[in-house]
Amino acid sequence: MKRALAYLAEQPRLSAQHVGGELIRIEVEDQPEVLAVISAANEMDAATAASYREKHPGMDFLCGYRKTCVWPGDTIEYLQNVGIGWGSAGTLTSAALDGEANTASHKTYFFSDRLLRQYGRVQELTREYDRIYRIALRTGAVLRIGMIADYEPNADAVRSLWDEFGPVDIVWNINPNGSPSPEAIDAGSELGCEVLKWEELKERLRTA
Amino acid sequence: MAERKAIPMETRLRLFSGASGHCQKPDCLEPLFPIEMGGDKHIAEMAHVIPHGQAGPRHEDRPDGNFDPDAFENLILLCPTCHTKIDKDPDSFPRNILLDWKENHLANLAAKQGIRTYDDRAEVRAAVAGIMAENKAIWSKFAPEHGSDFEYDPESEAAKGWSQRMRSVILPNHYRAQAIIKANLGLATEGERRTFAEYQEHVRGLSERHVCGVSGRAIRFPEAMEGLFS
Ligand SMILES: [Zn+2]
Ligand SMILES: [Zn+2]
Repeated sequence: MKRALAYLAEQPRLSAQHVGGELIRIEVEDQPEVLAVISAANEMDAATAASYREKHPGMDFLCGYRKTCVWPGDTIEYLQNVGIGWGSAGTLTSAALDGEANTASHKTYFFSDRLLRQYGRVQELTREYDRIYRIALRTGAVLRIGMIADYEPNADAVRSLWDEFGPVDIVWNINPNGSPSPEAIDAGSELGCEVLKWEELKERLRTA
Repeated sequence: MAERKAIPMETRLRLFSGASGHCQKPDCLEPLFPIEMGGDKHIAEMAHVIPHGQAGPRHEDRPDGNFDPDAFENLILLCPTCHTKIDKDPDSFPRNILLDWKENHLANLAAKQGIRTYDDRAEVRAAVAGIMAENKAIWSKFAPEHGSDFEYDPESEAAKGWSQRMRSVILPNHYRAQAIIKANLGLATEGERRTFAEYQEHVRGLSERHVCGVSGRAIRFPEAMEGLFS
């Protein structure tokens, strides 16, 4: 909590006060005030999210401030249905500044989520976790895709994703600036998955 | 001119870093990732000093014995204009002239860029500081995870800006800073020499990443560089 408040205090144009428990209030000039729950959970399950909402009916945003925080798909679905934004401390900051705290979703995965949803060949999409998707293509092919946001994912990043979330067909490196190391690609093929950037993934979806 | 097989990545990397990103013809020395082209395309051509075939330019200069035309020693990095010139007029540009260009390239480039030895540390620092400041400014805007313009958008335009600037500004700046520091290592402390060695390794990794597309090998920019010669 202290760390989260310290982080918010560094942001320009924004002030944050501790209200009580895990709840904070954020004020931004010319934007609606934001009530956010700052949670130290490593995995934000749907029951936890629901109990936060019960405790703080006015909450706008649920923030998993740990870098390691994982969001299961049902938690995401629940929060989006009840109009509560969710994501990292960085997500909370930019959402508060943009006045979009109720609808914001995790910054790291926002664009890749949208790309997958908007891709014409994808017929059905299930978000199992913030970074894990199962998609069914129009051709009938089904693929499980895991996202890695690292600049240059190494072999360990690929293996950890696999260990934590189970087998995937494709590891998608969503950081636009970087690309996976050759070792990461090798680790993927040892495990039985491809490690791809968006251009390659698009091609893979086109032909799958 | 057609190359027989792909030149190995190691050779290309060695050529590029040896050329510091500039055409190796001493009266040209044009940047090979021109800023006008946004830095995302290079115009570098690997020219063979001795050709593969029996008929190509300079084939009569071929040394005796086993000879690999695709070896590093037989390649020189040129802009397209200079490549055309040397291949069209092999009599004016024999093997020894080309090898001489390559041998003296860094000195030629240093002279063109006004790189020299200084009398005191403050002057070296001043010469390097401006270059580093420009790199840092670009970094803080486009850096891979924390730059102010960075977003995890796989189709990001800012990311394209990052790799373009890396090749047309940041890397040439690094090469230039390296040349200045190298020319003035006599003024450096033991610790600074170690920092410089680390810095060179950092730049080598960056070149590998952004010129040859091999990622994951770059070490971090050594923080001690900030205080070099201060
Ligand atoms: Zn050639
Ligand atoms: Zn030239």
